[in-house]
Amino acid sequence: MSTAVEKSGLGAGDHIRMNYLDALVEAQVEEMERDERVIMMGEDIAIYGGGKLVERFGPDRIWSMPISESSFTGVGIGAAINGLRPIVDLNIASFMYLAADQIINQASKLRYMTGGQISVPIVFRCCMYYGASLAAQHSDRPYPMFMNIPGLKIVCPASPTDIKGLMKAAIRDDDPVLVFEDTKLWPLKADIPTDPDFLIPLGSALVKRQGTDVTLVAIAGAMRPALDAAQALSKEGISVEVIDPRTLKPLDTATIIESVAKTGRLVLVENAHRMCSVTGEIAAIVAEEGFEYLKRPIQRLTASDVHVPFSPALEGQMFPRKATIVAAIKKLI
Amino acid sequence: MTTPIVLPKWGMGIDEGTVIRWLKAEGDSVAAGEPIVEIETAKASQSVDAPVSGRLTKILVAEGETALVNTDLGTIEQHDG
Repeated sequence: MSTAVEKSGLGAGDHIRMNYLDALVEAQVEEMERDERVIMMGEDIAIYGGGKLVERFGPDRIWSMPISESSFTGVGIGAAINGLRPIVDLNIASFMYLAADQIINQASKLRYMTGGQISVPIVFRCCMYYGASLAAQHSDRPYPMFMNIPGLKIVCPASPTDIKGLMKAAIRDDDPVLVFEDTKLWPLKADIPTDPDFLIPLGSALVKRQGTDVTLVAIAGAMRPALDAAQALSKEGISVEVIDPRTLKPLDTATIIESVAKTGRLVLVENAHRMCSVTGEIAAIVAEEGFEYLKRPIQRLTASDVHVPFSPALEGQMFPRKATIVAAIKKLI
Repeated sequence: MTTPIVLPKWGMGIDEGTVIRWLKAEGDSVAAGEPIVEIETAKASQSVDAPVSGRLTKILVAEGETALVNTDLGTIEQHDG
């Protein structure tokens, strides 16, 4: 297989338009070309996609795994300890629960428990599906519970450029990184850099839109309605600054607090459940470190603390939408 | 009888598609199973086939526009009999 960048014949200083999923493939192929220690493993991974990855890199580097997340996650961690840099594809985000003992008790703790003698350079990938009647067991957004674990880095890229730059940074990182892809972002297109060394450092937020009246922080798939809301409000003379943390851990709190210092108002939006969510953490940090900047109480928009319903009518009400974001912002003005 | 041409749900996580090209114009005759419109999704470009034989009476989603899955892309007026 050839990637879109290879087919285009463009040089390293160029940009090429592609969607989120293609940018993710580009990032992984580039890193596998750059470093032969990078391998990929996951269920049926050598055959899905028409076997293209295995044609290019061979079965020594593309490992098909059985339906046993706990065991193959352990295999990946063992491989990482012994010098490889695995990308473990866990597919649906809810399957992270099956792999959680290996991720939490082994990957996150071994550097600490061995006094730094062991590092675990591994990437765990998963997709957050929801809003499509996939029912409660396949619709979770479980990144908040992993944020509670020391020793893990967590990214939630929300654009094609960010998935490319953050995925490559995650693969090159010497510690475990969890990459949560939001399927609502898959069709998004952008001009991404072709440079094979284009990286976005873990822990850097992005101001997606400058504004002066309200700071709007949105996570993963919530970015699409957040940007729509900011655009709609600009027509009414309300200037919204939109921030994407991009990395949830370590969290770039400086960028958020700097923005709140300017606007004095903060609205936080995400599609995970409300209790102990990343928006709850950001609200706590701003209350601790930026309380004097706040002119109005912090507003949070999240999914309710109930499981995701199968019913399309009910699930449609579950997540923050453009209209609910606009209403929350207007409450503060 | 009027039959809608529906944007199919091709897979998990595919919630929308963009019309790349209509292969038939309004007023053209179409045969059941014949590709009539090309759609790009996040994973692939695919065509939607005519669900029935008849005449393409209306294009509801123009080239370049994006629609959610299960949206009516157009309508076919079936031949009598």
